[in-house]
Amino acid sequence: MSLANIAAGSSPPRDQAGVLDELRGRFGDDAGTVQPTGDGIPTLWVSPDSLQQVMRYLKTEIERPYRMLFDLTAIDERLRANRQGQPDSDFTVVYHLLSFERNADLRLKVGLKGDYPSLPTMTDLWPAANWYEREVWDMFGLTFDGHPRLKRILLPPTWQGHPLRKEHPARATEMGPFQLPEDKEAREQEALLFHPEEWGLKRHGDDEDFMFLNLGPQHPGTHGVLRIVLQLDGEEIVDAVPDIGYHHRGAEKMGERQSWHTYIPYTDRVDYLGGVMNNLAYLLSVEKLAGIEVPDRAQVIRIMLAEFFRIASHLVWYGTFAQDVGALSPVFYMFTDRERVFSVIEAVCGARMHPNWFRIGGVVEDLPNGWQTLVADFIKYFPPRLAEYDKLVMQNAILKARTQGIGGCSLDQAVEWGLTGPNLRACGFEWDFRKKRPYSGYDQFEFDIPTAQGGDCYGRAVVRVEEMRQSLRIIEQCLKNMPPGPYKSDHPLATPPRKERTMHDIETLITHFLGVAWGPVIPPGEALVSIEATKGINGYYLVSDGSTWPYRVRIRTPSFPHLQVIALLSRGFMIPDLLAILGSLDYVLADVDR
Amino acid sequence: MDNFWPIVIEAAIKSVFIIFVLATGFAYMTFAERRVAALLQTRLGPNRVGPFGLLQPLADAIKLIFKEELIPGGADKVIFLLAPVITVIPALVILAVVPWGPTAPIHCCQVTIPGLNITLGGAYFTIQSGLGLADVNVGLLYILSVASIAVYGVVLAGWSSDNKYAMLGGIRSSAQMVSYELALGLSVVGPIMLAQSMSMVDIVNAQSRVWFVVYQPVGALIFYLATLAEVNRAPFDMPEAEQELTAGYHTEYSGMKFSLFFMAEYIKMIGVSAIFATLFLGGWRGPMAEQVPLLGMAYFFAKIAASLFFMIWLRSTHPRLRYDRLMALGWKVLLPLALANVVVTAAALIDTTLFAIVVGALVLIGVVALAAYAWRRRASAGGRAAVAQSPAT
Amino acid sequence: MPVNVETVIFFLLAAMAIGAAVGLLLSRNAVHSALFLVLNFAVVSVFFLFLAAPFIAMVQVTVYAGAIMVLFLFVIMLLGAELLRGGASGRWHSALAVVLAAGFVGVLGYVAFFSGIAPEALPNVDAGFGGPQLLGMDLFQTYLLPFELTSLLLLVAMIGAVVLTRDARTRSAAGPGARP
Repeated sequence: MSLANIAAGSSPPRDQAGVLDELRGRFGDDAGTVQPTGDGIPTLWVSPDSLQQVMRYLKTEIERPYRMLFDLTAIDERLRANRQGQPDSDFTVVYHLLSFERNADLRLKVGLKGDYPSLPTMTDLWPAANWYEREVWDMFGLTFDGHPRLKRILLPPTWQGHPLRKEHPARATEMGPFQLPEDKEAREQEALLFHPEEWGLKRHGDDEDFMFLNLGPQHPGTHGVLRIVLQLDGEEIVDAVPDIGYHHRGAEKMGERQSWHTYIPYTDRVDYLGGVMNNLAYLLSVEKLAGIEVPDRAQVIRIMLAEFFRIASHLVWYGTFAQDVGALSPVFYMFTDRERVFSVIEAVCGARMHPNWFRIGGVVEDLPNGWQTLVADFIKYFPPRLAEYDKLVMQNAILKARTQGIGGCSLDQAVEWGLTGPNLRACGFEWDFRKKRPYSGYDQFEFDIPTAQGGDCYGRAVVRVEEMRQSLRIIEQCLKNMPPGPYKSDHPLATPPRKERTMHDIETLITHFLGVAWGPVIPPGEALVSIEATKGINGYYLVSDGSTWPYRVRIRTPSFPHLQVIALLSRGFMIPDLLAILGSLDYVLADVDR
Repeated sequence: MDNFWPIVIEAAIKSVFIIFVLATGFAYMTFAERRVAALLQTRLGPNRVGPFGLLQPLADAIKLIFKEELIPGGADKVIFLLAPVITVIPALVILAVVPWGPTAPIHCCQVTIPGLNITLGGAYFTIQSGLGLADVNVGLLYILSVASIAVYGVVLAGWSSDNKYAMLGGIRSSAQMVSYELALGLSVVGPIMLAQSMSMVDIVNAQSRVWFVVYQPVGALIFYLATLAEVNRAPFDMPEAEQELTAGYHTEYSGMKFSLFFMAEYIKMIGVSAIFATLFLGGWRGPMAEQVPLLGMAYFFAKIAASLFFMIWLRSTHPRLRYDRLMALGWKVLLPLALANVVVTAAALIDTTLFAIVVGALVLIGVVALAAYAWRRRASAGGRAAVAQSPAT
Repeated sequence: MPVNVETVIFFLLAAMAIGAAVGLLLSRNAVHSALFLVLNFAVVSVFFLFLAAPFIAMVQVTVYAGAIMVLFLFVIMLLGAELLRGGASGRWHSALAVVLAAGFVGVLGYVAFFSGIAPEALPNVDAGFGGPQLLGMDLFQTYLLPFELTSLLLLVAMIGAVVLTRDARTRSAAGPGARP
C-alpha cells in the first residue's frame, strides 16, 4: 500500500497492540517480553541478537509496516527504582517506531549488561539511525557495532566521559575547577584542525581536486551556530557534512535534577521559537504519567496560545527564508507582524518568547480581561498581510526560480530519514498529529492540513504559509467558543494548586507546599506523548521512578532529523541552493542540540 | 604650448569639483539608501545624528577611520593594500567624459602662478566652458574601457585575502563583470549609431528633441540590467552575497580599506546612473536648460537621482538570482537581445524596407527559439513529474 | 630634441613601461606578473594617446587589460598556480635569454639609429587617423573579406571551446531528488 493512499481523507483506525500478536506469530517466544505501560504504546523487550531480525521484519515484511524510526535513545537503568515487571539491565536502548498505515507507535527495548556494552547498528535499515546512534554513544558510551562513523556528535571530540550516565556530574560545581594547562590547550587546538578524511570526505575525485569550505559555525546564513563542511567541485556541492552540538546545553541532563514542575521553563528554550508548544509536549507527557484530566477551558487556552506560537514561529521562518534567497525587505515585515503576535501573547502570559505559562494540570492563570479584543484585532489584521506577502515573496519570479525544484526529496526518502511536520507534508503526504491523533482537544476544531507536491524548497514554503492561515482559523474558533470553567485541574498533582482553595483548605495548602518546595511526586512509569509542534513532531519520553524529579527526560525534536538530511537534499546543487535549503527546512539549533 | 597651462588648470579645477561631488554624493548615497530602504521596510533608518540624521555619513566616516585595520596573516600584503585603491580609481575617473550641463559662461579673474611666470586672462574675463571635464571623440569607448578595468580591484581583493569566501566572491565577480561587459558594450551601440558619434556631448546634443530611450527601449533596458550586474547591485550582487559568502570579496577588509570598497560601489552606482541618463534620458536636457545652464545640471542630477532610487527600490524588493542563472541571463538572453537590437537599429537607420525584413527575420528566429525552448522545458518537466510520482515501496 | 612637457612625460612613461616589463619577468608570483603586464598595457595605451590615436588607446585598455588579462588572472587563480616552482629550468636558460635579449636590443638600436631605414620624422597624418570612422571604413570596405573571415574563425573557435568544455555530467532536469 502506498503512503499517499492513506493520506487523503480521514485518519486510519488506530491499531496499537495488534503488532504484538503478529510478532509472536512470526518469532514465537523469541519475540521478547511485553512490558505494560501507561501511555498505551506497546512495549517489547528484544534481545540484542534478534534485534536486527525483528526490526527488518517490522520495517519491510510485516503488513502495514513501521516505516519511520521515530526516535532512538537510551536509559541508564543502574539507579532506577520501581521497575517491577521489567527485565534486568544496566542500560536500555529504546527504539520508537511509527507506522502510518496503523497510525500506531511501537516501543522496542534492548536491555544491555555491563559498563560499556555494545549492540548492532540499525544504520543499514534506517539511514536516520546514524545520528541517533552517535548521540547515544556520545551520551552513554554504548557502542553500535557496524556503525560507519561512530564519533561524538553533540559534545566536542575532546570531551571526557558520557554525560547522560548517572555517574557523570550534572552540575559544573561537581566537576572541580576548570583548568587549561598547556598540554590540554595543545590537545584542544589539535582537535580543531581540519582533516577531510576524519569527516569521511575524499580530497581528490577521478579528475578533480575538491575544495573544502567551512560554512559556519559563524555564518550569516546558518541561523545560529551550525557548521557545515562542504566538499565542493567548483561551486557544486559534492557532499555536505553538518557538524552540530555548538548549541548543546544538556537539556535532557538538566531534567534529571529539576522537579517535574521546575523543569517547565527549560522546555521553553528547546525550540525557542515555539514557546508554549514545548510546554505542551512536556506537560501532556507528565499528565499522562500522573493521570490528570485537563479541564476544557485550559485545553482551549493551550490550543489558542500554541497556534499563536505556530504563527510567530512561521513568521520568523518566512522572513528569514526570504532573506536566505536574498530578499532584504520581507524579514522586516514579518518581524513587525510577529511583534503583533507577541503583544497578544504578552498580554496573556506576561512574557514573549519564553512564556513558561502552562502548568501541570492546566495553565498559570485565567485569560486577562479584554483578551477577546486583542485576539479579534489580530484575526482582522493578519489575513490581508498574508495576501500581500504572497505577492511579495511567494509569487516573486526570482524566488520561484531559486526554490522550485531545489532541494527536493521523495516521500519515501522523507519517511526514511524521519522528516516530520511541514517538511513531510511538502512531499504530498497529509500527516498531522492534530488530525490523526488529536491531542488536547484538537478534534473539536475545523481546519485543513495543507500539503504540497515535490518536497522541494518551494513546496515546504507553500505548506508553512498555508499553515498560518489554518492556525488563524483555529484561533478564531477558540475566540468564538472559549468554554467557561476552571483553568486548572483539581487533581492533587496539579502544580501549584489553584490559589483560591489554598488559603481555605489545609489539605490543599499542604499539597501546595509539597508541590512547590519538593515538587509533585509523579507515579512510576513511562510515557511518550508527541505533538505537532511548529517544526514537526516534538515528543517528550519521560521516565519516572516515583520521585519528585524525572529519572530520564528524552526530548525527541523535529529539527534533529531535519538537519541530518541536509547532505541528501543538497548534493549536486550549488552553495546558494544550500542556503535556500537551510532556510526552507526551518530548524532551530537549540531544537537540534537541546 | 600657449594654452597648455590654462587647459591643465581648467581640467584640474573641474576634476576637483567632480571628485568633490562624487565623494559627497557617495556619503549621502549611503544615507539615502538606508533611509529609502527603511521607508520601504517600515523602519525609520538613521535619524539620530544631526537634523533628520543628515550627519550620519560623517559619523560613519569617523567610526571607520578609527577602526582597526586588519591584514590577514596569509594575505599578499601589497596587493591586499592595493586592491581597494584599484577599485576606487576607475569609479572616480569614469565620469570624466560625461557632460554635466550645456556650455556655460564662467567668470574668472586674473590668476598668476608664482614661479612659473604665467598670467592668465585679463583683470576680469569670461570663458565659455562646457560643463563637463572633457569632450573626447571616443568618450563612450573610454567609459567601457574604464568599466572593464574596474573588475581588477574586486578580483585582487578576493585573491589576496587568502580566504575561500573572498576567493569565491572574486571569481564570481570577475566572471560576472566580463560576461556583462559584452551586453553592456552592445547596448550602447544603439545611441552611438543614432548620434553618429561616440562623444558624450554629441550624444546629448542628438537628443535635443527626443530622448533615446524612446528609440532604444530594449537597449536602455539591457544597459540598465547590465550596469546593475557591472556594479554588483541586487539582484545581481552575487560577489558579496551576504547569506552565502558572508561578505564576498571584502570579507577580510576593515576600517578605511573596507570603506573604500563601499565608496567605489556607491560611486559606481552614481556613475552608471549618470551614464544611463546621458545615453538614454537626454543627459542635462530639459526645458530652458540651454538658457540657464545651472538648470541643466539640476535636470541631470534629478535624472541620476531617479535612477538611483530605482536601484534602491529593486534591491529592497527582489531576492538574489542564483549565480549560474545570472550568467545564463547574461549570455543567453541579454547578449542575443543586444545583438538583435544593434541589427534592427542599423536596419532602421538605412531604410524602412530593410528594417521590415530584418524585424521579420528576427521575429521568426525568436519564435523558433522559443518553441524549441518550450518543447525542451516540457520534456524535462515531464521527467520531473515522473520522479515525483515514483511509487512508494 | 626640444625639452618640453611632452618629452618629459614621454620619458617618464617609457621608464614605467620598461620597469613594468622587467617586473613582469622578474616576479616570482604569477599574479604579480599579470599585474605588471596590465600596468604595461595601460602605459602603452597612453603612448597611443600621445600619438593622437585615442580610439586605439581605448581599445588597447578594453581588450588587453580589461578582457584578456582578467581571463589570465582568472585562470591563474582557479588553478592556484600563482607561485612558480623554482629550479625547474637550467641555469643556461637564463644565460641564453640574456644573450638573445641583448641581440634583439642591438638589432633594434641599429635599425633605429644607424641603418638609415627608419625615417627621421614620421609623416603627418590626418586628424581622423586611427579614429573610429576611418578604422570602420577600412575594416568594412577595404578589408571586408579578411575581417569577416577572421570573425568566422573566432566564432568557430568559441563554439569549439564551448563544446569541448561542456560538462559531460550535465545535471539531469529532475535534479538531485532523483538521485539514489
